[in-house]
Amino acid sequence: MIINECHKDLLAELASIGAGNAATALSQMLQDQVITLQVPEVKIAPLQDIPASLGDPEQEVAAVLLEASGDGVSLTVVLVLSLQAAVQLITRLLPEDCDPLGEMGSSLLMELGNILVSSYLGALSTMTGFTLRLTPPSLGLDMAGALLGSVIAEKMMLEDNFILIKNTMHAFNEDIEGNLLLLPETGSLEKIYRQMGVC
Amino acid sequence: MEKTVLIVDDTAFMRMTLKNILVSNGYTVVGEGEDGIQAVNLYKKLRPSLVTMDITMPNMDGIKAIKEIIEYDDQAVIIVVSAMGQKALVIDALNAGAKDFVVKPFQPDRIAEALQKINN
Ligand SMILES: [Mg+2]
Repeated sequence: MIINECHKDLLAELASIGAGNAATALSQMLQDQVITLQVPEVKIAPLQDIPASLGDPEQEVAAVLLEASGDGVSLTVVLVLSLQAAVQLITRLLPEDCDPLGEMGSSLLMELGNILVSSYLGALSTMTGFTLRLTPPSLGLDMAGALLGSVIAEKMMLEDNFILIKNTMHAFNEDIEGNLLLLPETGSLEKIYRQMGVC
Repeated sequence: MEKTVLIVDDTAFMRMTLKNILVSNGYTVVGEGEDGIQAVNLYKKLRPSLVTMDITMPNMDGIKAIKEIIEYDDQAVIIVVSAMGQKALVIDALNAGAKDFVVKPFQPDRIAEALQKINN
């Protein structure tokens, strides 16, 4: 489908409510650490641009992938953190003697993906009335280009464009960037827009 | 009577977090399950006084597992601990027989409150 300005506005609204929910969730996980949030940046780009969409395709990243579906809507959601940001979050959340990239660290990243994506879905569910269920998360640690390339290689029936939501949060005197990629299946975006009854 | 709990969640991190909170609230962790199938089998074997149940898990999800456990023992005490706070899913879980629904992430107090509620 063709995404117009009005559709973009709706996505921006969804992203900002979702990011707010996600920041609240993250702040709770970090024992009420204050997290400030910039307005998320929303981009729509052709699917084939995905490997380089986060900048340097050779950057090491941690990506958590989940599938959301329900009420006729299906989308793949990928949360991408720089490896550095991922390790920083893990070391804040795990006891000191845990290896950040060991089993417990990986499991934490998957749960973090599950929680943050669920908080975004909460926004989508509130705005549309749809109920979306998630699959268990899977985790990849690799270069951004290779990881994202493999995501689209495995999927069929995707919309020609994907949605990138860039979130920047500020905590521990540092900026943490968290990128969320939404890859809707053909027809799903239209269904969401129709349900919201605008545009 | 000893208070025993079966913790069910597909991620080790969340099981560890819940374990710490439950132990400090006087529970003995008698088992841990990573999916719904393990949850049902462990419930039958261990008959714990409490189950904490995740929803999004591989093989069998938490809602299905709650239904099977309640079918086996309609007195089972199950609290859902899930990131999916959407209204319809909360209703599904409560209809299936869960006693309470805690949305992740949670403060330890929220779990303590749920425990108090079921013990009254
Ligand atoms: Mg889970």
